[in-house]
Amino acid sequence: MSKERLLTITNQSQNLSEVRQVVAEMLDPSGFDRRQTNEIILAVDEGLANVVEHAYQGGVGEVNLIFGLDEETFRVHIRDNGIRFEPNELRDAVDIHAHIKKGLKGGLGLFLMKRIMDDVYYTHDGPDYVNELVMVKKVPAVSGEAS
Amino acid sequence: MPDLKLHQEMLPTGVAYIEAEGFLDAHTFEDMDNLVQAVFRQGAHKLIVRLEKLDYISSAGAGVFVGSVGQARENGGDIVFLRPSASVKEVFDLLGLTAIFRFAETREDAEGCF
Repeated sequence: MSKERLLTITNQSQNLSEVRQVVAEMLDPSGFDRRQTNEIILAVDEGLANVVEHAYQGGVGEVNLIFGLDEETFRVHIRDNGIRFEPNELRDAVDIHAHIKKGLKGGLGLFLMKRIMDDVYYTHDGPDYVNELVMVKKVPAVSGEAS
Repeated sequence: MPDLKLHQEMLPTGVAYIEAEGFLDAHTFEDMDNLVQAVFRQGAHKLIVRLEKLDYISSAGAGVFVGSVGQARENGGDIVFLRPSASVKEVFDLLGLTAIFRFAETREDAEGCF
């Protein structure tokens, strides 16, 4: 069985909680446990928060979200028509001590997304978007089932 | 709409005590950041932040503490977390913050960290 949810919001931070709620509902029930579900919600929140903060540079714009869940994966697509975003690197590690020393408050979201999800990447210039953030998380195999 | 509630008081020992309840995300983190900066401006750099009733934290919320703890420590203080909820603790673990910040189970223990 698979299910899909499509959602269009404006790039306003007060919409973050609604999207977290949609993901929570979509993953209940699913093959992910409570902790994994919370982590996925966090990864989606981080990806969307980056779009909200940066994509439209202070203006208002639409963000389209597509969530897909089947037996094997949970997939997230976050699409915007803002300025083109090319992450320099999707970090596997973050130097928290450097953040503390420099008093940096941001820059942890991409690291968290990469840490939580199995696959995180950006695509560009689709038929109806400039930036697309794609995140994929594999559904854990049920114990006792052949992999 | 889920929101963030903050309460702050100064303890007789000169420690700033902050209680956070609700959701500390990219929508609400500026409220927490403003409060921490206001406490610093009052000359207090020893902070106890109770997170028992905080349901959710994202990197924007955690970033407030990551970006402020250096200033606290440079001024002879620190930020000590009191009883973070399980979901908040999990995010701290993911970010590697449990090795950097101090945590306490009681207010007395938290005051003893300074």
